Amino acid sequence: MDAREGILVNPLGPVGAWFADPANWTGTSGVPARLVEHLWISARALILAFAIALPLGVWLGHVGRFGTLVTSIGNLGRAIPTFALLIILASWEPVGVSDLAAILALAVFAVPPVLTNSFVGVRDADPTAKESARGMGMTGGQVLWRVELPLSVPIVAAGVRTSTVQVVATATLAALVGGGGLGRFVVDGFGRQDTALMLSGVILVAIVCVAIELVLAAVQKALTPPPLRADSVLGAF
Amino acid sequence: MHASTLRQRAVAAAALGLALTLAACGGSSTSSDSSAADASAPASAASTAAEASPEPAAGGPITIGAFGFGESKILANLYAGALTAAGFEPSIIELTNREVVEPALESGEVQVVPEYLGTLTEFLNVKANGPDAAPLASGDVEATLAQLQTLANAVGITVLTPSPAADQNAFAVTREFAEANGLATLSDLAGYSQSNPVRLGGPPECPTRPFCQPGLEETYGMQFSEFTSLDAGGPLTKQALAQGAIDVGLVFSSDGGVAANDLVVLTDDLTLQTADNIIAAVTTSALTPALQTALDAVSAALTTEDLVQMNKMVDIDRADAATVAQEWLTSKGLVS
Repeated sequence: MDAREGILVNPLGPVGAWFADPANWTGTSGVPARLVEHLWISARALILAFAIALPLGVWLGHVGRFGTLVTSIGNLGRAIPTFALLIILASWEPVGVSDLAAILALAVFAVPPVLTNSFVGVRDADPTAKESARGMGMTGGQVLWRVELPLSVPIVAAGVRTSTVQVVATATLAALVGGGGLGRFVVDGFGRQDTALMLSGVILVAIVCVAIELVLAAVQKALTPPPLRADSVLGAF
Repeated sequence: MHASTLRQRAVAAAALGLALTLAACGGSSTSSDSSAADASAPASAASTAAEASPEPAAGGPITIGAFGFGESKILANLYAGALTAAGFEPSIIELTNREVVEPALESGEVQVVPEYLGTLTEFLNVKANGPDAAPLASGDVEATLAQLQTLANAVGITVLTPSPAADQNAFAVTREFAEANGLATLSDLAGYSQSNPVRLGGPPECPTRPFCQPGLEETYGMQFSEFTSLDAGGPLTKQALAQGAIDVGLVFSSDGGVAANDLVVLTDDLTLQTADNIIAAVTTSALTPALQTALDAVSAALTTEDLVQMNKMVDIDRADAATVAQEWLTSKGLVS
Protein backbone atom coordinates (compact mmCIF):
# COMPACT_ATOMS: atom_id res chain seq x y z
CA MET A 1 0.00 0.00 0.00
CA ASP A 2 1.66 3.18 -1.09
CA ALA A 3 1.48 6.46 0.75
CA ARG A 4 -1.35 7.77 -1.42
CA GLU A 5 -3.75 4.98 -0.53
CA GLY A 6 -2.74 5.24 3.12
CA ILE A 7 -3.75 8.90 3.20
CA LEU A 8 -7.18 8.14 1.85
CA VAL A 9 -7.78 5.47 4.45
CA ASN A 10 -6.20 7.09 7.49
CA PRO A 11 -5.49 10.75 6.85
CA LEU A 12 -3.85 11.52 10.15
CA GLY A 13 -1.74 8.40 10.43
CA PRO A 14 1.31 9.17 8.29
CA VAL A 15 1.00 12.90 8.96
CA GLY A 16 0.75 12.35 12.70
CA ALA A 17 3.80 10.11 12.46
CA TRP A 18 5.70 12.82 10.61
CA PHE A 19 4.94 15.41 13.30
CA ALA A 20 5.81 12.96 16.06
CA ASP A 21 9.22 12.15 14.56
CA PRO A 22 11.84 14.21 16.42
CA ALA A 23 14.15 14.11 13.39
CA ASN A 24 11.75 16.47 11.63
CA TRP A 25 12.15 19.05 14.35
CA THR A 26 15.94 19.33 14.34
CA GLY A 27 18.63 20.40 11.95
CA THR A 28 18.71 22.69 8.94
CA SER A 29 15.71 21.06 7.32
CA GLY A 30 13.65 20.67 10.48
CA VAL A 31 10.47 22.57 11.22
CA PRO A 32 12.01 25.34 13.39
CA ALA A 33 14.74 26.14 10.87
CA ARG A 34 12.31 26.18 7.97
CA LEU A 35 9.89 28.31 9.97
CA VAL A 36 12.57 30.91 10.65
CA GLU A 37 13.56 30.95 6.96
CA HIS A 38 9.92 31.32 5.98
CA LEU A 39 9.23 34.19 8.34
CA TRP A 40 12.47 35.94 7.41
CA ILE A 41 11.65 35.85 3.69
CA SER A 42 8.13 37.08 4.46
CA ALA A 43 9.40 39.83 6.75
CA ARG A 44 11.81 41.24 4.21
CA ALA A 45 9.16 41.23 1.49
CA LEU A 46 6.65 42.93 3.78
CA ILE A 47 9.10 45.56 4.99
CA LEU A 48 9.93 46.42 1.38
CA ALA A 49 6.26 46.57 0.41
CA PHE A 50 5.23 48.64 3.43
CA ALA A 51 8.13 51.04 2.92
CA ILE A 52 6.78 51.74 -0.55
CA ALA A 53 3.04 51.44 -0.16
CA LEU A 54 2.33 53.00 3.24
CA PRO A 55 3.95 56.42 2.72
CA LEU A 56 2.72 56.59 -0.86
CA GLY A 57 -0.86 55.62 -0.02
CA VAL A 58 -1.05 57.88 3.01
CA TRP A 59 0.33 60.87 1.16
CA LEU A 60 -1.96 60.39 -1.85
CA GLY A 61 -4.90 59.99 0.49
CA HIS A 62 -3.94 63.15 2.32
CA VAL A 63 -3.83 65.22 -0.85
CA GLY A 64 -6.88 63.35 -2.04
CA ARG A 65 -5.72 62.98 -5.61
CA PHE A 66 -4.83 60.20 -8.06
CA GLY A 67 -7.54 57.96 -6.72
CA THR A 68 -8.01 56.28 -10.08
CA LEU A 69 -4.30 55.66 -10.38
CA VAL A 70 -4.16 54.02 -6.97
CA THR A 71 -7.13 51.81 -7.72
CA SER A 72 -5.64 50.82 -11.05
CA ILE A 73 -2.29 49.94 -9.52
CA GLY A 74 -4.11 47.96 -6.90
CA ASN A 75 -6.11 45.98 -9.43
CA LEU A 76 -3.22 45.41 -11.80
CA GLY A 77 -0.95 44.40 -8.95
CA ARG A 78 -3.42 41.80 -7.82
CA ALA A 79 -3.61 40.42 -11.35
CA ILE A 80 0.12 39.74 -11.57
CA PRO A 81 0.72 36.02 -11.01
CA THR A 82 3.31 35.84 -8.25
CA PHE A 83 4.52 32.42 -9.37
CA ALA A 84 5.30 33.63 -12.88
CA LEU A 85 7.05 36.73 -11.58
CA LEU A 86 9.11 34.56 -9.26
CA ILE A 87 10.31 32.29 -12.06
CA ILE A 88 11.11 35.26 -14.30
CA LEU A 89 13.17 36.90 -11.56
CA ALA A 90 14.96 33.66 -10.72
CA SER A 91 15.89 33.12 -14.36
CA TRP A 92 17.16 36.69 -14.72
CA GLU A 93 20.84 37.00 -14.03
CA PRO A 94 20.93 40.10 -11.81
CA VAL A 95 18.57 38.43 -9.36
CA GLY A 96 18.96 34.73 -10.06
CA VAL A 97 18.26 31.75 -7.86
CA SER A 98 18.19 33.34 -4.43
CA ASP A 99 15.94 34.59 -1.67
CA LEU A 100 15.89 37.95 -3.45
CA ALA A 101 13.72 36.55 -6.25
CA ALA A 102 11.10 35.47 -3.74
CA ILE A 103 11.36 38.68 -1.74
CA LEU A 104 10.83 40.89 -4.79
CA ALA A 105 7.96 38.80 -6.14
CA LEU A 106 6.25 38.75 -2.74
CA ALA A 107 6.79 42.48 -2.26
CA VAL A 108 5.02 43.17 -5.56
CA PHE A 109 2.25 40.89 -4.35
CA ALA A 110 2.00 42.71 -1.00
CA VAL A 111 1.81 46.27 -2.28
CA PRO A 112 -1.77 46.47 -3.67
CA PRO A 113 -3.80 45.82 -0.49
CA VAL A 114 -1.63 48.15 1.59
CA LEU A 115 -1.55 50.91 -1.02
CA THR A 116 -5.28 50.84 -1.65
CA ASN A 117 -6.23 50.66 2.02
CA SER A 118 -3.90 53.38 3.22
CA PHE A 119 -5.12 55.64 0.43
CA VAL A 120 -8.77 54.99 1.20
CA GLY A 121 -8.25 55.06 4.96
CA VAL A 122 -6.70 58.50 4.95
CA ARG A 123 -8.85 60.01 2.22
CA ASP A 124 -12.09 58.78 3.74
CA ALA A 125 -11.25 59.67 7.32
CA ASP A 126 -14.22 61.49 8.81
CA PRO A 127 -14.47 64.72 6.76
CA THR A 128 -16.09 66.58 9.65
CA ALA A 129 -13.09 65.88 11.83
CA LYS A 130 -10.74 67.06 9.08
CA GLU A 131 -12.69 70.25 8.57
CA SER A 132 -12.78 70.94 12.28
CA ALA A 133 -9.05 70.42 12.49
CA ARG A 134 -8.40 72.89 9.70
CA GLY A 135 -10.88 75.23 11.27
CA MET A 136 -8.86 75.09 14.48
CA GLY A 137 -5.83 76.24 12.52
CA MET A 138 -3.92 73.01 12.21
CA THR A 139 -1.43 72.80 9.37
CA GLY A 140 -1.71 70.11 6.74
CA GLY A 141 0.92 68.04 8.48
CA GLN A 142 -0.82 68.31 11.80
CA VAL A 143 -4.12 67.30 10.24
CA LEU A 144 -2.41 64.26 8.82
CA TRP A 145 -0.66 63.16 11.97
CA ARG A 146 -3.23 64.05 14.57
CA VAL A 147 -6.50 63.45 12.76
CA GLU A 148 -6.27 61.52 9.51
CA LEU A 149 -3.82 58.81 10.51
CA PRO A 150 -5.46 57.88 13.80
CA LEU A 151 -8.85 57.77 12.12
CA SER A 152 -7.48 55.66 9.29
CA VAL A 153 -6.01 52.97 11.52
CA PRO A 154 -8.82 50.41 11.11
CA ILE A 155 -8.71 50.46 7.33
CA VAL A 156 -4.94 50.71 7.04
CA ALA A 157 -4.57 47.91 9.56
CA ALA A 158 -6.96 45.73 7.56
CA GLY A 159 -4.75 46.24 4.52
CA VAL A 160 -1.63 45.41 6.49
CA ARG A 161 -3.19 42.27 7.92
CA THR A 162 -4.46 41.07 4.55
CA SER A 163 -1.10 41.69 3.00
CA THR A 164 0.83 39.98 5.79
CA VAL A 165 -1.24 36.83 5.84
CA GLN A 166 -1.20 36.61 2.05
CA VAL A 167 2.57 36.99 1.93
CA VAL A 168 3.17 34.41 4.65
CA ALA A 169 0.92 31.96 2.84
CA THR A 170 2.50 32.65 -0.55
CA ALA A 171 6.09 32.56 0.71
CA THR A 172 5.77 28.82 0.16
CA LEU A 173 6.58 29.60 -3.48
CA ALA A 174 10.17 30.42 -2.55
CA ALA A 175 10.80 26.68 -2.38
CA LEU A 176 10.14 26.38 -6.10
CA VAL A 177 13.36 28.22 -6.89
CA GLY A 178 15.58 26.47 -4.43
CA GLY A 179 14.64 28.68 -1.50
CA GLY A 180 13.86 27.56 2.02
CA GLY A 181 10.86 28.03 4.22
CA LEU A 182 7.87 25.84 4.93
CA GLY A 183 7.22 25.49 1.20
CA ARG A 184 10.22 23.19 1.13
CA PHE A 185 8.10 20.43 2.72
CA VAL A 186 5.37 20.88 0.15
CA VAL A 187 7.65 20.98 -2.89
CA ASP A 188 9.94 18.17 -1.80
CA GLY A 189 6.95 16.10 -0.72
CA PHE A 190 5.46 16.54 -4.14
CA GLY A 191 8.71 15.76 -5.93
CA ARG A 192 9.12 12.54 -3.99
CA GLN A 193 5.41 11.77 -3.91
CA ASP A 194 5.69 11.73 -0.13
CA THR A 195 2.12 12.69 0.72
CA ALA A 196 2.73 12.81 4.47
CA LEU A 197 5.53 15.34 3.96
CA MET A 198 3.39 17.46 1.66
CA LEU A 199 0.38 17.48 3.97
CA SER A 200 2.54 18.26 6.98
CA GLY A 201 3.93 21.27 5.16
CA VAL A 202 0.48 22.47 4.21
CA ILE A 203 -0.78 22.10 7.77
CA LEU A 204 2.22 24.00 9.12
CA VAL A 205 1.68 26.90 6.72
CA ALA A 206 -2.00 27.05 7.63
CA ILE A 207 -1.23 27.10 11.35
CA VAL A 208 1.37 29.84 10.93
CA CYS A 209 -1.03 31.98 8.87
CA VAL A 210 -3.82 31.66 11.42
CA ALA A 211 -1.43 32.45 14.27
CA ILE A 212 -0.17 35.56 12.51
CA GLU A 213 -3.70 36.71 11.79
CA LEU A 214 -4.56 36.40 15.50
CA VAL A 215 -1.42 38.27 16.57
CA LEU A 216 -2.08 41.06 14.12
CA ALA A 217 -5.69 41.34 15.24
CA ALA A 218 -4.48 41.88 18.79
CA VAL A 219 -1.91 44.44 17.65
CA GLN A 220 -4.54 46.27 15.64
CA LYS A 221 -6.83 46.46 18.63
CA ALA A 222 -4.02 47.86 20.75
CA LEU A 223 -3.15 50.50 18.17
CA THR A 224 -6.69 51.62 17.44
CA PRO A 225 -7.74 54.73 19.35
CA PRO A 226 -10.29 53.56 21.94
CA PRO A 227 -13.29 55.36 20.45
CA LEU A 228 -12.75 53.53 17.17
CA ARG A 229 -12.40 50.03 18.50
CA ALA A 230 -14.77 47.33 17.37
CA ASP A 231 -16.43 47.18 20.75
CA SER A 232 -17.23 50.87 20.58
CA VAL A 233 -20.22 52.28 18.82
CA LEU A 234 -18.15 53.85 16.05
CA GLY A 235 -15.82 50.96 15.30
CA ALA A 236 -16.95 48.76 12.42
CA PHE A 237 -13.95 46.54 11.70
CA MET B 1 -44.61 40.64 6.54
CA HIS B 2 -45.55 42.25 3.26
CA ALA B 3 -47.17 39.81 0.83
CA SER B 4 -44.93 40.99 -2.03
CA THR B 5 -41.79 40.60 0.08
CA LEU B 6 -42.84 37.10 0.99
CA ARG B 7 -43.45 36.32 -2.68
CA GLN B 8 -40.08 37.75 -3.67
CA ARG B 9 -38.34 35.61 -1.10
CA ALA B 10 -40.21 32.51 -2.22
CA VAL B 11 -39.20 33.13 -5.81
CA ALA B 12 -35.58 33.69 -4.81
CA ALA B 13 -35.54 30.53 -2.75
CA ALA B 14 -37.03 28.51 -5.58
CA ALA B 15 -34.52 29.92 -8.06
CA LEU B 16 -31.65 29.08 -5.73
CA GLY B 17 -32.96 25.59 -5.22
CA LEU B 18 -33.33 25.08 -8.95
CA ALA B 19 -29.81 26.33 -9.59
CA LEU B 20 -28.34 24.01 -6.97
CA THR B 21 -30.25 21.04 -8.35
CA LEU B 22 -29.07 21.72 -11.88
CA ALA B 23 -25.48 22.12 -10.69
CA ALA B 24 -25.60 18.82 -8.86
CA CYS B 25 -27.01 16.99 -11.89
CA GLY B 26 -24.60 18.62 -14.34
CA GLY B 27 -21.43 17.75 -12.45
CA SER B 28 -21.40 13.99 -12.92
CA SER B 29 -18.18 12.63 -11.49
CA THR B 30 -15.52 11.56 -13.96
CA SER B 31 -13.28 8.66 -13.27
CA SER B 32 -10.28 10.93 -12.96
CA ASP B 33 -9.22 10.76 -9.32
CA SER B 34 -6.63 13.08 -7.92
CA SER B 35 -3.30 12.11 -9.30
CA ALA B 36 -1.95 15.16 -7.60
CA ALA B 37 0.01 16.38 -10.57
CA ASP B 38 -2.72 16.82 -13.17
CA ALA B 39 -2.87 20.29 -14.63
CA SER B 40 -6.45 21.40 -14.96
CA ALA B 41 -6.58 21.57 -18.74
CA PRO B 42 -5.20 18.15 -19.61
CA ALA B 43 -7.22 16.56 -16.81
CA SER B 44 -10.24 16.34 -19.06
CA ALA B 45 -8.19 14.55 -21.68
CA ALA B 46 -6.95 12.11 -19.06
CA SER B 47 -10.40 11.41 -17.71
CA THR B 48 -11.73 10.86 -21.20
CA ALA B 49 -8.94 8.42 -21.91
CA ALA B 50 -9.41 6.67 -18.58
CA GLU B 51 -13.12 6.37 -19.10
CA ALA B 52 -12.59 4.85 -22.55
CA SER B 53 -12.70 1.06 -22.60
CA PRO B 54 -9.52 -0.56 -21.24
CA GLU B 55 -8.71 -1.90 -24.70
CA PRO B 56 -9.17 1.05 -27.05
CA ALA B 57 -10.30 0.24 -30.54
CA ALA B 58 -7.54 0.56 -33.13
CA GLY B 59 -7.06 4.26 -33.63
CA GLY B 60 -8.71 5.40 -30.41
CA PRO B 61 -7.62 8.17 -28.05
CA ILE B 62 -4.25 7.67 -26.39
CA THR B 63 -2.83 9.75 -23.54
CA ILE B 64 0.93 10.22 -23.55
CA GLY B 65 2.56 11.28 -20.31
CA ALA B 66 5.71 13.40 -20.36
CA PHE B 67 8.15 14.31 -17.60
CA GLY B 68 8.83 17.89 -16.66
CA PHE B 69 11.82 18.55 -18.85
CA GLY B 70 12.26 19.56 -22.47
CA GLU B 71 13.50 16.27 -23.91
CA SER B 72 10.55 14.36 -22.54
CA LYS B 73 8.17 16.75 -24.23
CA ILE B 74 10.02 16.27 -27.51
CA LEU B 75 9.80 12.50 -27.18
CA ALA B 76 6.12 12.70 -26.30
CA ASN B 77 5.56 14.77 -29.42
CA LEU B 78 7.48 12.23 -31.51
CA TYR B 79 5.19 9.50 -30.24
CA ALA B 80 2.13 11.68 -30.78
CA GLY B 81 3.10 12.44 -34.37
CA ALA B 82 3.70 8.78 -35.18
CA LEU B 83 0.46 7.72 -33.51
CA THR B 84 -1.52 10.33 -35.38
CA ALA B 85 -0.13 9.01 -38.64
CA ALA B 86 -1.17 5.52 -37.53
CA GLY B 87 -4.74 6.64 -37.01
CA PHE B 88 -4.79 7.26 -33.25
CA GLU B 89 -5.90 10.40 -31.43
CA PRO B 90 -3.04 11.10 -29.08
CA SER B 91 -2.99 13.80 -26.43
CA ILE B 92 -0.04 14.76 -24.26
CA ILE B 93 -0.08 15.47 -20.54
CA GLU B 94 3.01 17.18 -19.17
CA LEU B 95 3.57 16.01 -15.64
CA THR B 96 6.62 16.27 -13.41
CA ASN B 97 8.69 13.25 -12.48
CA ARG B 98 8.55 9.48 -12.37
CA GLU B 99 7.09 9.42 -8.88
CA VAL B 100 4.00 11.04 -10.37
CA VAL B 101 3.99 9.53 -13.86
CA GLU B 102 4.60 5.85 -13.13
CA PRO B 103 1.55 5.30 -10.91
CA ALA B 104 -0.52 7.01 -13.57
CA LEU B 105 0.93 4.64 -16.17
CA GLU B 106 0.13 1.61 -14.02
CA SER B 107 -3.45 2.68 -13.55
CA GLY B 108 -3.96 3.61 -17.19
CA GLU B 109 -4.56 7.31 -16.60
CA VAL B 110 -1.74 7.77 -19.08
CA GLN B 111 -1.11 4.93 -21.50
CA VAL B 112 2.25 5.71 -23.05
CA VAL B 113 5.36 7.25 -21.51
CA PRO B 114 8.78 7.76 -23.14
CA GLU B 115 10.95 6.20 -20.45
CA TYR B 116 14.61 5.53 -19.75
CA LEU B 117 15.70 1.90 -19.56
CA GLY B 118 18.08 1.82 -16.58
CA THR B 119 16.39 4.40 -14.39
CA LEU B 120 12.95 2.87 -14.83
CA THR B 121 14.34 -0.56 -13.98
CA GLU B 122 15.77 0.67 -10.69
CA PHE B 123 12.66 2.68 -9.91
CA LEU B 124 10.45 -0.40 -10.27
CA ASN B 125 13.06 -2.51 -8.49
CA VAL B 126 13.02 -0.29 -5.40
CA LYS B 127 9.25 -0.03 -5.52
CA ALA B 128 8.88 -3.81 -5.60
CA ASN B 129 11.79 -4.89 -3.43
CA GLY B 130 12.39 -2.04 -1.03
CA PRO B 131 15.00 0.74 -0.80
CA ASP B 132 17.90 -1.64 -0.14
CA ALA B 133 17.26 -3.90 -3.12
CA ALA B 134 20.32 -4.98 -5.06
CA PRO B 135 20.56 -3.02 -8.32
CA LEU B 136 19.21 -4.82 -11.38
CA ALA B 137 20.13 -2.20 -13.98
CA SER B 138 23.58 -2.00 -15.48
CA GLY B 139 25.41 -0.75 -18.52
CA ASP B 140 24.32 -3.88 -20.41
CA VAL B 141 21.22 -3.05 -22.44
CA GLU B 142 20.05 -6.62 -23.01
CA ALA B 143 20.44 -7.73 -19.41
CA THR B 144 18.76 -4.60 -18.07
CA LEU B 145 15.92 -5.01 -20.54
CA ALA B 146 15.26 -8.56 -19.36
CA GLN B 147 15.08 -7.37 -15.74
CA LEU B 148 12.83 -4.48 -16.69
CA GLN B 149 10.39 -6.65 -18.59
CA THR B 150 9.86 -8.86 -15.56
CA LEU B 151 9.40 -5.92 -13.21
CA ALA B 152 7.15 -4.03 -15.59
CA ASN B 153 4.88 -6.91 -16.51
CA ALA B 154 4.27 -7.50 -12.81
CA VAL B 155 2.64 -4.07 -12.52
CA GLY B 156 0.72 -4.03 -15.78
CA ILE B 157 3.24 -2.17 -17.90
CA THR B 158 4.76 -3.42 -21.13
CA VAL B 159 8.03 -1.98 -22.37
CA LEU B 160 8.80 -2.04 -26.06
CA THR B 161 12.12 -2.29 -27.88
CA PRO B 162 14.71 0.16 -26.55
CA SER B 163 16.07 2.79 -28.87
CA PRO B 164 19.75 3.21 -29.68
CA ALA B 165 19.36 6.77 -28.38
CA ALA B 166 20.25 7.21 -24.75
CA ASP B 167 20.19 9.98 -22.19
CA GLN B 168 21.32 9.62 -18.64
CA ASN B 169 21.88 11.84 -15.64
CA ALA B 170 25.02 13.89 -15.94
CA PHE B 171 26.62 16.30 -13.56
CA ALA B 172 28.02 19.59 -14.73
CA VAL B 173 30.13 22.34 -13.28
CA THR B 174 31.03 25.69 -14.78
CA ARG B 175 34.03 25.76 -17.10
CA GLU B 176 35.80 28.13 -14.70
CA PHE B 177 35.30 25.80 -11.76
CA ALA B 178 36.57 22.81 -13.75
CA GLU B 179 39.66 24.61 -14.98
CA ALA B 180 40.45 26.21 -11.63
CA ASN B 181 40.39 22.85 -9.86
CA GLY B 182 41.52 20.53 -12.61
CA LEU B 183 38.28 18.59 -12.82
CA ALA B 184 37.45 16.30 -15.72
CA THR B 185 35.75 13.35 -14.06
CA LEU B 186 33.38 12.82 -11.15
CA SER B 187 36.23 11.11 -9.30
CA ASP B 188 38.19 14.34 -9.58
CA LEU B 189 35.24 16.21 -8.09
CA ALA B 190 34.91 13.65 -5.32
CA GLY B 191 38.58 14.12 -4.47
CA TYR B 192 38.14 17.89 -4.42
CA SER B 193 35.05 17.59 -2.25
CA GLN B 194 36.89 15.77 0.52
CA SER B 195 38.34 19.03 1.76
CA ASN B 196 35.82 21.35 0.12
CA PRO B 197 32.31 19.89 0.33
CA VAL B 198 30.43 20.98 -2.75
CA ARG B 199 26.92 22.32 -3.18
CA LEU B 200 24.66 20.14 -5.30
CA GLY B 201 21.65 21.32 -7.26
CA GLY B 202 18.98 19.12 -8.80
CA PRO B 203 15.28 18.24 -8.82
CA PRO B 204 13.52 17.70 -5.46
CA GLU B 205 13.70 13.91 -5.76
CA CYS B 206 17.49 13.92 -6.20
CA PRO B 207 18.30 13.20 -2.54
CA THR B 208 16.27 10.00 -2.73
CA ARG B 209 17.22 8.74 -6.19
CA PRO B 210 19.95 6.09 -6.43
CA PHE B 211 21.54 7.67 -9.52
CA CYS B 212 21.53 11.13 -8.05
CA GLN B 213 22.78 12.28 -4.66
CA PRO B 214 22.92 8.92 -2.85
CA GLY B 215 24.73 7.36 -5.80
CA LEU B 216 27.35 10.10 -5.90
CA GLU B 217 27.90 9.78 -2.17
CA GLU B 218 28.16 6.00 -2.13
CA THR B 219 29.89 5.22 -5.43
CA TYR B 220 32.22 8.23 -5.50
CA GLY B 221 32.37 9.11 -1.82
CA MET B 222 31.47 12.65 -2.73
CA GLN B 223 30.97 15.13 0.11
CA PHE B 224 28.13 17.59 -0.21
CA SER B 225 27.67 20.62 2.00
CA GLU B 226 24.13 21.26 0.86
CA PHE B 227 21.50 20.37 -1.68
CA THR B 228 19.39 22.99 -3.45
CA SER B 229 16.14 21.86 -4.99
CA LEU B 230 15.73 23.29 -8.48
CA ASP B 231 14.60 21.66 -11.70
CA ALA B 232 15.80 18.61 -13.60
CA GLY B 233 18.52 19.99 -15.82
CA GLY B 234 16.43 23.01 -16.65
CA PRO B 235 17.02 26.76 -16.79
CA LEU B 236 16.98 27.23 -13.00
CA THR B 237 19.78 24.71 -12.54
CA LYS B 238 21.89 26.31 -15.25
CA GLN B 239 21.19 29.75 -13.82
CA ALA B 240 22.22 28.58 -10.37
CA LEU B 241 25.48 27.18 -11.75
CA ALA B 242 26.21 30.32 -13.71
CA GLN B 243 25.73 32.60 -10.72
CA GLY B 244 27.58 30.36 -8.33
CA ALA B 245 24.64 29.42 -6.13
CA ILE B 246 25.59 25.75 -6.58
CA ASP B 247 28.86 24.06 -7.52
CA VAL B 248 27.57 21.03 -9.37
CA GLY B 249 24.18 20.53 -10.94
CA LEU B 250 22.21 17.73 -12.52
CA VAL B 251 21.89 18.00 -16.28
CA PHE B 252 21.23 15.40 -18.94
CA SER B 253 23.79 13.80 -21.22
CA SER B 254 21.77 14.72 -24.30
CA ASP B 255 21.33 18.31 -23.17
CA GLY B 256 21.80 20.62 -26.12
CA GLY B 257 22.78 23.64 -24.07
CA VAL B 258 25.68 22.50 -21.96
CA ALA B 259 28.47 23.96 -24.06
CA ALA B 260 26.44 27.05 -24.89
CA ASN B 261 26.10 27.83 -21.18
CA ASP B 262 29.82 27.49 -20.52
CA LEU B 263 29.34 24.31 -18.55
CA VAL B 264 31.42 21.15 -18.49
CA VAL B 265 29.94 17.70 -17.92
CA LEU B 266 32.17 15.61 -15.67
CA THR B 267 32.79 12.10 -16.94
CA ASP B 268 31.06 9.28 -15.08
CA ASP B 269 34.29 7.25 -14.81
CA LEU B 270 32.94 4.77 -12.26
CA THR B 271 29.78 4.20 -14.34
CA LEU B 272 27.26 5.18 -11.73
CA GLN B 273 24.71 5.78 -14.46
CA THR B 274 23.19 2.82 -16.26
CA ALA B 275 22.17 2.19 -19.85
CA ASP B 276 19.43 4.78 -20.11
CA ASN B 277 18.19 4.10 -23.60
CA ILE B 278 14.90 5.66 -24.56
CA ILE B 279 12.19 3.04 -24.27
CA ALA B 280 8.44 3.29 -24.70
CA ALA B 281 6.46 2.13 -21.67
CA VAL B 282 2.84 1.28 -22.37
CA THR B 283 -0.01 0.28 -20.08
CA THR B 284 -0.45 -3.40 -20.96
CA SER B 285 -4.21 -3.17 -21.31
CA ALA B 286 -3.84 -0.35 -23.84
CA LEU B 287 -1.27 -2.08 -26.03
CA THR B 288 -2.29 -3.05 -29.55
CA PRO B 289 -0.15 -4.22 -32.50
CA ALA B 290 -0.77 -0.94 -34.33
CA LEU B 291 0.39 1.05 -31.31
CA GLN B 292 3.49 -1.09 -30.94
CA THR B 293 4.43 -0.81 -34.60
CA ALA B 294 4.13 2.96 -34.58
CA LEU B 295 6.18 3.42 -31.41
CA ASP B 296 8.83 0.85 -32.39
CA ALA B 297 9.40 2.71 -35.65
CA VAL B 298 10.17 5.91 -33.75
CA SER B 299 12.50 4.15 -31.30
CA ALA B 300 14.42 2.35 -34.02
CA ALA B 301 15.07 5.51 -36.03
CA LEU B 302 16.11 7.72 -33.09
CA THR B 303 19.77 8.32 -32.28
CA THR B 304 21.47 10.21 -29.48
CA GLU B 305 22.75 12.79 -31.97
CA ASP B 306 19.17 13.39 -33.10
CA LEU B 307 18.16 13.94 -29.47
CA VAL B 308 20.99 16.39 -28.82
CA GLN B 309 20.08 18.27 -31.98
CA MET B 310 16.39 18.46 -31.13
CA ASN B 311 17.12 19.44 -27.53
CA LYS B 312 19.31 22.24 -28.76
CA MET B 313 16.61 23.51 -31.11
CA VAL B 314 14.06 23.61 -28.32
CA ASP B 315 16.22 24.76 -25.39
CA ILE B 316 18.57 27.18 -27.14
CA ASP B 317 16.85 28.20 -30.34
CA ARG B 318 13.46 28.29 -28.64
CA ALA B 319 11.74 26.24 -31.33
CA ASP B 320 8.41 24.63 -30.53
CA ALA B 321 8.73 21.00 -29.40
CA ALA B 322 5.81 19.82 -31.51
CA THR B 323 7.22 21.48 -34.63
CA VAL B 324 10.69 20.07 -34.07
CA ALA B 325 9.24 16.60 -33.52
CA GLN B 326 7.15 16.79 -36.66
CA GLU B 327 10.15 17.86 -38.75
CA TRP B 328 12.17 14.91 -37.49
CA LEU B 329 9.34 12.46 -38.20
CA THR B 330 8.99 13.84 -41.71
CA SER B 331 12.73 13.69 -42.34
CA LYS B 332 12.74 10.02 -41.35
CA GLY B 333 9.76 9.20 -43.52
CA LEU B 334 7.66 8.14 -40.53
CA VAL B 335 4.92 10.56 -41.41
CA SER B 336 4.06 11.94 -44.79
